Amino acid sequence: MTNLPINHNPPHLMHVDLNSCFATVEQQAYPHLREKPVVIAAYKTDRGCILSPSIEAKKLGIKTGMRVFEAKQICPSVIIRDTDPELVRDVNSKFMKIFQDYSPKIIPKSIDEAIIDFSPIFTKTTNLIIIGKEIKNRIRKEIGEWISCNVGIATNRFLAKLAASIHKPDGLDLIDYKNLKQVYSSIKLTDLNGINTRFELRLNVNGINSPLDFFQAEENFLRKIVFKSIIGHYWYLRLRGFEVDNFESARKSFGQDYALAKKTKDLEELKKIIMKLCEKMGRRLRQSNQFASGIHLGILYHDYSFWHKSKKINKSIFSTKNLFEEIIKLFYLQPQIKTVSKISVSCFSLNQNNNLQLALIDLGEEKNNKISSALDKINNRFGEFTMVPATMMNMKDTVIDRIAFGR
Amino acid sequence: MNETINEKVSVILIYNQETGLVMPKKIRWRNRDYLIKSLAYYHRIRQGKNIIHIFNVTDGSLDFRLSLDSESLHWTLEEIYDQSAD
Repeated sequence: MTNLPINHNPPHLMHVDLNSCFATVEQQAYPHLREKPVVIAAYKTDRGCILSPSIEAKKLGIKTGMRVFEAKQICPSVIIRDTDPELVRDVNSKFMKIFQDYSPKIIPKSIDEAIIDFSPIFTKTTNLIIIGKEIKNRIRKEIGEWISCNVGIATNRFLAKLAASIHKPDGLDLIDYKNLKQVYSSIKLTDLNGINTRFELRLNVNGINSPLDFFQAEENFLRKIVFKSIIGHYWYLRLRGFEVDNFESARKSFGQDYALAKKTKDLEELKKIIMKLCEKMGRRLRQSNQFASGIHLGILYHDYSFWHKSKKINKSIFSTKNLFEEIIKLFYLQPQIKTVSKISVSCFSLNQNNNLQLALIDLGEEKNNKISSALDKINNRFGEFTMVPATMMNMKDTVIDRIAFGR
Repeated sequence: MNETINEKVSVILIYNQETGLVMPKKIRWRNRDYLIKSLAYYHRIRQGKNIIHIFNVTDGSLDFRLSLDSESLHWTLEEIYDQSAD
């Protein structure tokens, strides 16, 4: 491939990323938390994982992924809060509504970030910097004065995200052919989205020590020597501002997991948790109007050993009862009964319900499916877990609502 | 420090037809009146078909999380945040 120039097209993608979303939203709702180091943790106990530190906590060195006790060591007065998923989802829906005023093409990336693709409405007079400033103002005015965001504008998703990370918090940056090299010369390899320390090492071994080296590397070198695959070609295009990440991947599985607040090897207790995980997974499976013919169970034990097993089954399952029965069969295959600290269940090999093969002998599957659908309707009307299988009695607050990372 | 309360409270609500603002103005909790200075955040939660309106408000020294059940029209003080207790 001959050397390709930088993409000279006008930038038409805007990446918007709310700053310290979970913590900032909490500070918006509770004004007395503002200007204080606040962290949102999965659990408020010392081993709880920090999901989002506030901007003030970040300035002190508290980072996402740390444990609560580590944050307390850095700042003993740090305020620890639980997540409020409904509050964060509300903020998400409000900012998505604002974005829809600017373009019909919005690509959600996670609960706190999205890409606005202006290509359907882009004209010579479209000024994305002015629009970016307006969006920032509208977020402050219409969602909350404490909520700030980073805006990045570029010709592809990769550079738009990079632009949104240049000046944190509350920044607005544009990357185009004019300043691309300057941006690359001012950052580290690990500042590039998709390059972690292991990738950095691979690049270093091949003489690429900075983003500018990476950018100047030839396509053949990246494809044949560094990545030894088409990935090298994609990086070559991506770094020059050409779009290679605009594909939509289809969902291949549904899964739920739960880190036990109180580790146990009590079979009845574990069955209850598995049932609740199956109910949550089943609800999502049924909402997508799909059936599964593969299941997986993973168990992390208190001694940090891990066991997992998956199985393809010769029928398509849909109801919580069937999912639970199949998962429990796997559960009994554990080589050793040990204290459990985390359970994860998932189902895969998804198919649409019109692809179902009829069973020769009726084992009441259809009846189970109808019962599950009826229970879903009741729960939709009266609230989650209004009607549950008897195994799940007295466990309303176990396996609480969470917001997943990613889309 | 935040404290979960979950007690019924009396509320005086204002509605401004020009700005569309709906905001609790005064609450009476445990025989004490609190004059609300500002609405920090408002959102709705669905509980099945029922909608719960959540108002996060402050009187300047305490933050309150109030909920209005749209079916029963009852107000609940769900949580308070007291800065002085930190």
